[in-house]
Amino acid sequence: MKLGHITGRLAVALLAVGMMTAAHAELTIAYITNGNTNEGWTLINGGAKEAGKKAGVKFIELAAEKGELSKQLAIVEDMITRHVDAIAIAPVDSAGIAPAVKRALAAGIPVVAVDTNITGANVTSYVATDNIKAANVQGSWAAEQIKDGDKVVYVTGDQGQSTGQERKKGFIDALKAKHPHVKIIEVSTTWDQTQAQNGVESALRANNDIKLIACAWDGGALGAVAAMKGYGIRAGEIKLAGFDGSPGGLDMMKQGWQQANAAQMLAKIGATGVETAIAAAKKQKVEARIDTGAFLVLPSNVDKFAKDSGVAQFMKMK
Amino acid sequence: MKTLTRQEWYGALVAVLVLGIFLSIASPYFLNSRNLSNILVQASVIALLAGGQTFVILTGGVDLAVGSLTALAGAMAGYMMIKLGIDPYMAILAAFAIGAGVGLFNGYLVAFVGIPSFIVTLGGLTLWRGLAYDSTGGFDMSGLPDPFPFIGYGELFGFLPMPIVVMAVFYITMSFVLSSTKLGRYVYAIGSNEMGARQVGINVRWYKLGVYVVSGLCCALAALVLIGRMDSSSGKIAQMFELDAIAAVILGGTSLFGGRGSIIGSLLGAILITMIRNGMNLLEISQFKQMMAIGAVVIIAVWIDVVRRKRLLRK
Amino acid sequence: MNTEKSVIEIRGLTKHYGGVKALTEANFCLAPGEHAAIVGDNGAGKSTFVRLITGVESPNSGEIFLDGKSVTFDSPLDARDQGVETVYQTLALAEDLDVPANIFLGREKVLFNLGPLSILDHKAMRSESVQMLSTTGVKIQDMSETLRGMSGGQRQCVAIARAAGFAKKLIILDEPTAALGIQETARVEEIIKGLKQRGVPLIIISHNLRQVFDLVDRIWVFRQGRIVASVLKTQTSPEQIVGLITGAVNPDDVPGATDLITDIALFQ
Repeated sequence: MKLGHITGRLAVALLAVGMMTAAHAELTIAYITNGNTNEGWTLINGGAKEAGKKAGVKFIELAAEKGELSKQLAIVEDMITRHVDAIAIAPVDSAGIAPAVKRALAAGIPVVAVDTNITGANVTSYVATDNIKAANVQGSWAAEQIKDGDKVVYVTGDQGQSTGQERKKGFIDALKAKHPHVKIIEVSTTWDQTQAQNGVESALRANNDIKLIACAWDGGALGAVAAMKGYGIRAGEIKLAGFDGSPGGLDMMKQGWQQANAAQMLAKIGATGVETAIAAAKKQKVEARIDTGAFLVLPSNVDKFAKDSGVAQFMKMK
Repeated sequence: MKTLTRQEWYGALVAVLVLGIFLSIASPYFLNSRNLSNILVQASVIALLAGGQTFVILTGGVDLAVGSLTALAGAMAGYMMIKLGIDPYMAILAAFAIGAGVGLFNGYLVAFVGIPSFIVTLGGLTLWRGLAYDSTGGFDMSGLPDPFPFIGYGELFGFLPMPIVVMAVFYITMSFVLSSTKLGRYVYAIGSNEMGARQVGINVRWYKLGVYVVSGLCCALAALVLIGRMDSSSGKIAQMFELDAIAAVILGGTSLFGGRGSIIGSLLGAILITMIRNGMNLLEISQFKQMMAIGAVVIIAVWIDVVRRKRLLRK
Repeated sequence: MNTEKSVIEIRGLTKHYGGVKALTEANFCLAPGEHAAIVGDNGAGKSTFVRLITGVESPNSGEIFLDGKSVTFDSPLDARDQGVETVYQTLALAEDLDVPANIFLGREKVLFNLGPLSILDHKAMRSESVQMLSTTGVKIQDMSETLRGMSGGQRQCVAIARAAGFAKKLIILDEPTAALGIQETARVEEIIKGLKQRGVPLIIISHNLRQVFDLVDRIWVFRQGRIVASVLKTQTSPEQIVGLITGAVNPDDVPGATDLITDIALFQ
């Protein structure tokens, strides 16, 4: 009995460490994700992996199980032990990861924040879409579609978060710059699709002269489409601008519901994050803030964008 | 004379040693004082939860709510300090009060109302998590005041990380409570033969209530170490920690059927789980394979427990 | 009958559950050092009687005297504290604890009394356990082994040694050998004979007449919720006892069988 007991546990231990990779390279880069496995993160992580492969470095990809902060903390600590040359990390929590990141920096390991910034630690670089600039692109496009004084609906993201605040500010600033008298009806959400749908429904009921709807993210656009369908509005009657360049957003464009989408360069976020980490590991000077830019997707270029960005693999409308 | 091999935690000790030897060979980064100290620090929170869980499981119950209660105690303490500006020591007291209060609630429903612990704490799993989010408004609280940076990252005498100190003092105390006090003795007696315990005059209800309070207090202590380590707090911390805590107890040789087991085994179990994660991180094994490995380890440990119990019953 | 001389004396003990007369006007006594058996068919009132004199239930009427003093039992613990130790069929042992822990279960010796956190006096309990076991004649090789590793007979012996060690007045054994094999039964019977030699008063509930005749001095027969006969082992035979149990023999036809019972009734 005792023997079975021990051999059982031993077998598990062996299984646990059974698949080692033993490639040898000059530089070792740890890419630590937040454990999200949705389409957006699959694209970001794919870009990161590709960049690591291209640069010929030893690329370690680890994820915080179930998006649990303390597990990500442990991974960072283990990577310090592992003496990696640089860390690229998508933090689970901006503030919570700071203590471990500080220790990595103190140990001389450069740390690049990917997509989400880290507060409370001076990271080597922060690579992400500049939300204000991307929202400017969305706002400028909207400005071209309407006349001054027209009514526009804006579906916000969570205004308790910097991402939501920045996207709203970028959109409104660009729109008002051209049409100072435009009427903006705000639909407030906390990144919730149902809230978006309900809000847009009320806006449609109260106003019959809405020219355009813009959304802080593609999920909100899905809610807006549902509201329009419920109201008997056909695709294209009211112009719709999405944000993210997500598969769902581009699908809506192919179906004629969306006329523009401020797409984040998801794969590029991952790739640039890792490239920046490699540069920092080589002691090259890197920018403290790197904007991976946004791309205005229109019906004329949607297919090419979908293919180039890799989003096409997740789309329903080919 | 009790021999070493007769102890329930012997298997866990062997597993820790074997895995340790294997990892020392497999990774050049494993066997150094820095990494070993890291493992103990990383194991501390789970070990504290496993300590309380040991009491519950020894009585034949289970506490599925420890992760959520840790989040509630940690989030509330953080909220009080950061958002309300309450003195940190008052916040620490409040965390323990929350732990004890929830423990009383769980214990009352299990021991006095007679609802199975599985149900009470499964409900608590979402109840306390929801309350943790709701009562703190979903905020992230960061930059905790003293003494939290010391609890999380301080070093006693300049070399002993505080989480390890807390864990060591905790385990020495709990080990004594379990082996040498009435509470400890009755925990085993109740798990072994609840009706018999009642017949010899043990106040089974109150002692059962007591183990859930112990577990709740352990959650509060774990929460304080955890938020210290993260220098921040929110309602989303300690996700699924109950599984790691229960796994640590079972890996440590404590029987899910109650009555048999030891506190030292739970410490070894927590270290074993942490070592597996640490080793796989060092060997660059992905998240999904890590999840599979931990799950497999737990199933096998329970399997061993069931087989062992069947053999004992056959005697 | 001289009440002062009885270890326990019971007068007119009655328990009715609604219309069910579980026990009616039961009279009973046990002399110092005496071993008595309680026999009867299933449903004859034995279990009710035992539950009443061990404090599990309270009687509707009737009195219990311990050493001549009228007592009432609020709970099994109360009965135990007043000197009546019972070994239940379920034994009330914790299989995962060792022998000393089981012997002192529920009445641990402590170094400091801190409520639930009272610190146990392992040494004292261990040495007293060794004492108790050897007095009772129970042999245990390894005191630190848990009961899980022991046979049913060994466990029964531990339970009896515990009762004997703590009993201030008498011990009640409920079917002590019902679940045991022949060898183990013999072992337990040896222990009971040892108690007889030491003069520990004892009541045994048993279905096994061979055992009853082997162990006790006096036999009390229960029938249809009443105690119908009380006879000395030396003045009766197994056949007669069977007859009394089934009703084939009228207690009035057995010389002296109702003497004690009517004697006690006179005191009421």
